[in-house]
Amino acid sequence: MKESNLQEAEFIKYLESCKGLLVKVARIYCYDAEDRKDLIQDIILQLWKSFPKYDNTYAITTWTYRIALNVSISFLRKATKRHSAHAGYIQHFEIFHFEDVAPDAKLEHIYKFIEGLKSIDKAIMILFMEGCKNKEISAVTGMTDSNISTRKERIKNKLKQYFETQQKHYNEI
Amino acid sequence: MKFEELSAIWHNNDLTLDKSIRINKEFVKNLGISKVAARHYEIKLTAMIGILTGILFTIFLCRFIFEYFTDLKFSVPAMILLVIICFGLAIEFYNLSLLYTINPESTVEEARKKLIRLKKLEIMNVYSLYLVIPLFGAPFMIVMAKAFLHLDLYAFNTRWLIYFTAGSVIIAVILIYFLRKFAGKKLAQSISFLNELRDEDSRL
Repeated sequence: MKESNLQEAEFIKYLESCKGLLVKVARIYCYDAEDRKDLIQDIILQLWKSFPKYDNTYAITTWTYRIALNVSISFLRKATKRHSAHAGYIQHFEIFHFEDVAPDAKLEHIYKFIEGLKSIDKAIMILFMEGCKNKEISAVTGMTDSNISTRKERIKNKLKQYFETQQKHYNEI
Repeated sequence: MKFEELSAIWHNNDLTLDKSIRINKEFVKNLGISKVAARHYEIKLTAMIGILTGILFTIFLCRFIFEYFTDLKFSVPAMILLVIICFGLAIEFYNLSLLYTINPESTVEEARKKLIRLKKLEIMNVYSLYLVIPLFGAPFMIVMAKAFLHLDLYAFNTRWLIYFTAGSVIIAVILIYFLRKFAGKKLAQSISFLNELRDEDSRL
């Protein structure tokens, strides 16, 4: 098998293992379904470009989160990569095919809450929900432990307020 | 709802996602991704051409200044142009270096700091036209006429210089109006993105 074929096979295997993660990150940073597909393509493209350089200094999930979050947070992808030919090309060949799944109301509530957070807090929230410890969140974001703890507390308080307001709203109805 | 409950809902979704997403393996196998990746270099190539043109113009100006060094009415406009061009080149180099060094594998914080600088530069570039166009116009005409047509524009009375500079200010205002009108969305996005990034800094 040629080296490039081997790398493609490895990349497909890797994509299979992290496809859920990519879709969740894109869902959080992009509300529009079409834009979200575009963002997923951009993240995968960046992963593909960086894939040969991965040197296991960091866990593969940490590495994936860094790239996915950096691409999602930065508008850089819009400033540097938007190209009509490129956009047409990439829309024609979608890397992920999605089957229709009925939306989960509770999950939609979580997404709705995260929508209201600042971009860095969104990143912390995703990692927090995934069950990452402060040390892992620090490896992805580059923030200090204390900074992460402060932000986590703030997010928890906001979360509590959000669901209390929601509850009140339902009770009134 | 407790955080543990939220986390469980979040993790349950992984199973659904696993089942509902299929990878277009043919696309990856046919190196389709590589083809798209190659297209990204085109944008940086445009910046490179800009830098190369700037360097060539700098060399031309240096030679012109050397030739007319003692004739201040020509060397001073050339020096003004040289300062503007060098300033533009420095910004272009810095911009390109930022683009190249924003490593998507770096931490989110590192990437964010570079992005703030890049966005500031983008915004500054548009507003610098207010100053650059009026400053650039008249010296450019004087130097070009002398270098290529051996024509002394001062001989046509200096009043044209005043009119030309005033005209340049009007052109700058019109140009920026159209830039803001048509490229305004991008500029507004840059400003709002920068504000969001700054917001996060000020909250800590």
